[in-house]
Amino acid sequence: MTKRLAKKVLLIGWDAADWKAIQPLMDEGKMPTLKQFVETGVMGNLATLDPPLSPIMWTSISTGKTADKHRVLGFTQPRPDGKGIQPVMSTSRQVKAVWNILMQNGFKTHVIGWWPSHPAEPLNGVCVSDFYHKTHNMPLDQWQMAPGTVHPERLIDTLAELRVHPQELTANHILPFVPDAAKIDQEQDQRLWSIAKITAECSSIHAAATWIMEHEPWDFMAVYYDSIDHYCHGFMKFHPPYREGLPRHLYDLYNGVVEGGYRLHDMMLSRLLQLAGDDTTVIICSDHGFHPDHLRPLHLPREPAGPAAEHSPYGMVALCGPGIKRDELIFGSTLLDLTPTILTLFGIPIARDMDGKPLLQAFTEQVKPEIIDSWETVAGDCGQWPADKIGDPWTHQEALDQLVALGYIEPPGQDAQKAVERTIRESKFYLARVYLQKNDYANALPLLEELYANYPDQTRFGLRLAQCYKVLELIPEARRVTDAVIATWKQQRIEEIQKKIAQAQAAGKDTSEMKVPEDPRSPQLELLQGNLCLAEEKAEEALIYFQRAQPATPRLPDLHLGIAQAYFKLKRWQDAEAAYFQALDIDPDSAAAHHGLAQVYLRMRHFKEATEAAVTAVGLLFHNPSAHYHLGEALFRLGRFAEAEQSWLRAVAQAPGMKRAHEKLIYLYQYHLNDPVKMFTHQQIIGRIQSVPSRRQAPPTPPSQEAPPSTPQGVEVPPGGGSTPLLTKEELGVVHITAKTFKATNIEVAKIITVVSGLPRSGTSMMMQLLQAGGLNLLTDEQRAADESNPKGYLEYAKVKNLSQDNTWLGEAQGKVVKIIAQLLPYLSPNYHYRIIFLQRDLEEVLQSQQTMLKQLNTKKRNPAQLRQIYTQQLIRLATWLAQQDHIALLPLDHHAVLEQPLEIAQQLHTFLACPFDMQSAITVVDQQLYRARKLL
Amino acid sequence: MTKQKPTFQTEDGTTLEIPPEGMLGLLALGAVGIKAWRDQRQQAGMESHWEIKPPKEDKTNAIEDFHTQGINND
Repeated sequence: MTKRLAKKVLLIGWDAADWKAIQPLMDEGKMPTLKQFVETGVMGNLATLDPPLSPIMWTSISTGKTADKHRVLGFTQPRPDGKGIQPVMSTSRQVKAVWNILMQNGFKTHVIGWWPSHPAEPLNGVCVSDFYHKTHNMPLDQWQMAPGTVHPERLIDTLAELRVHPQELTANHILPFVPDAAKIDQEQDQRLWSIAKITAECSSIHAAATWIMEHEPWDFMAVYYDSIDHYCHGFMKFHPPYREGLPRHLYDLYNGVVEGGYRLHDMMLSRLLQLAGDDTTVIICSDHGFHPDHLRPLHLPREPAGPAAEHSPYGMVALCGPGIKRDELIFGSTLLDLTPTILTLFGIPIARDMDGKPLLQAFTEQVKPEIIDSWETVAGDCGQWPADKIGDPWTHQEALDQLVALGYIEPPGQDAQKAVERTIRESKFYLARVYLQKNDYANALPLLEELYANYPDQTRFGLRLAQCYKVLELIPEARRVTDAVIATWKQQRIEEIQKKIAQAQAAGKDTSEMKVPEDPRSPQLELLQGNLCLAEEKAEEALIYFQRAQPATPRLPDLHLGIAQAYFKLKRWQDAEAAYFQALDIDPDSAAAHHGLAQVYLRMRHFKEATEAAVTAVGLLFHNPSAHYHLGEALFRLGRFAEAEQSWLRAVAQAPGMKRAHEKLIYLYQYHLNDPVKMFTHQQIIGRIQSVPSRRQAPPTPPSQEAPPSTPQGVEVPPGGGSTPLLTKEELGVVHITAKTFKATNIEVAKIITVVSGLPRSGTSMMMQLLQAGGLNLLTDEQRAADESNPKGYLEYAKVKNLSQDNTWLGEAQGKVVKIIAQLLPYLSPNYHYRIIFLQRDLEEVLQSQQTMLKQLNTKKRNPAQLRQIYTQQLIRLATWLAQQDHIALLPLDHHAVLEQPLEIAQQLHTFLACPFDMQSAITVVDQQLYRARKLL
Repeated sequence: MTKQKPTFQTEDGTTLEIPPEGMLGLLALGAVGIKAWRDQRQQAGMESHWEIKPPKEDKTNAIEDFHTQGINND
């Protein structure tokens, strides 16, 4: 076991905290606690991931995994019944969080307010969900705490009492943020309410955290504050220095809000540190930064999650306490590194399927972490929700769509449908961006192609698709898409202006000065054209576009990067160097500019300078395979072969298909390091790397026998693992629903509801006919007429289709038989007793029958392989759920057996139903002719 | 006999009275600060203040959820 460095660890999340905003405040003595913290610990930037959206990022922080693995893919997700959207939940996370792993290893863990964490997980400590502090503008006297907010239940009342409502706050709380608050007409300007709301909400989280620290023992505690991000989104535009164009009176009123927010967090930090004690190792981090300076955007993009444009790519990290160095800077950290770091502090193995690395440079002692393949497969109570609670809403939506198409559940209303569609669309876009950042173009490309084909008006989809084509060197396709994007953009601008003119005319305003441009242009458009020309190796032409954009946006860093790249391609090294310096003058933390400089210096044969620039680039942005490659090249030229090897190994660890890095390694092993085994390994990998045109296919993967590359500290870097494993072929279609009886014995038979259930097309209609013939009373309304798929009728009750929304009709079903498909069973009210006859049929046959029915309905077919996976997962969850319901008796019946041995089945039914049942009449119903979708054996 | 006013001590040792209107420092103290403030507020016979007005139906200037702004913009 690895040496344990920390006795206790406190992880504090400050959403959007940014050193660029904090540093001046520390220098002025306005954040004394944090100042002392970093002087006695370490600090550094924490590179964010793309897309920089908080629920995705905080889940990556708490799991050490990217979103393609943890599956939290945005702010919202489809509801389980498909009839709307809901916030992402703790059950959306498909992998273990660091607190689950720690609990599994016997550590007492508390989690407060993490995003997302509702419903609260059943940890061995306290879990307070992210619903705890939200007021949703609810008046104080109506503010209830949602069920599932606090675990364990014994603390519900205590913690509910500690919540602070904005209406409790007074001028004493607001004046430190807005000294002239009295001047504000709150009828016109409701920003004071915003400040009160943010302040009250973070006070609620802080109150819960401090109470738990005082009263409940712990080894690990994570507490998350969203408030800095909220103060910034509301008020960073008023933060000094004043910018032209902003109403001066608003600036004068609100220029202290962001500073006030940071100072409040410094005070809260002081209390947390006091309660944590000196024996606790404390980590403070943010998921992304927030531009506090000239890089603040003047306009936000008009697109979902557009405010994320205000985020900067570097969050902050600081560590202090036992096991941590004092007064040092750390470099190259990403938010994926925090979970491996915490595990290493506790002496627990990290896992190969994690995407981050422990921040060993922060530790006082050299440690070599133990590595296991994955924590996901390690059994034991970890406080994670059981499998039947965890669902993948994105894939479940596919199955729901199929059920709507088959007519088994009610379609959502138009608004809900639109919201669900938009949520799915955005989640696919976010997932594509995750793949792009991981250089996994094989997975990104089909998603982007699908999105752009379905939503050609969304130019942002086209831009990412063009970027993907460019990287894959599919330049004509990049040109085609870019031209289409530009044409769409111009058309949209023309329509926008036409609309404005029409509105002005309708309002009786003079529109003589308003003109519709024939050929709308923008600096961003020139930039786009210039970058495409660069990809097409037309550097001279690219420069023309960039120079055209320069007068309008001389301070746009990307513009100078483009100019520098054009000069680089033209081999004008000094000009390229100057352009990169201009980009750095605007944004000194531009990893791309430092990386560009490294390449320029390599060409100029200034290898020492190239090394320094490349080190800065990877220090700012560690997941940067190309920069690691160039760092390797610079080090190689300086004769530092062992370090060059490490850089190139990091490059191929981050981008396994980077052929040139493998080639360099082969050369290095052959001529300098004399290691034929490793040389052979990389030769083998190169053989598997596909040529450019076939890069649309699966990305190359390193062979399993290859030793994982090592960091300079000699620690193995866990390569990114695959996504959540799907069910094996053997597991598919073999879900066992177990027979059971009621727990209670004194149930009035006349009040029992008999349910015929199963997946659609598993013989439920036949069973309904059979029971009817046997003398049972059915609850049907004949609204769904017989058709080719069910010539003897469906025997359904229309209200069943809306069971997820309305179960008030269930009383009508007492003493009767009603058909309810398997997916709707969890919506049955627990106020009744149910006898469920559950039909099971080979999944291949079910799917074949469904596909045939969809064909007859002339409806879109879905991917049967995917549906097979989803149905199996749904049945696994259902089986677990059914087993836990005391008010349900269950008789599983095999569809084959009903057809082959009807009399035996009728006897089983008679016993199960415990009521008069005419078996002979019942079995006459079984019509083997209907068994049309029999599996071909 | 005069009832003693509740106080709290700052990190630098300064003793401050707890005002019924509360203060940011008490919120920063967490659970103990909030309880002390609410006790003092109750003793003073003060209900919650209404100086800060909740948003009206028209949320022109209200910032409901910063992250999801724009989600319906397309």
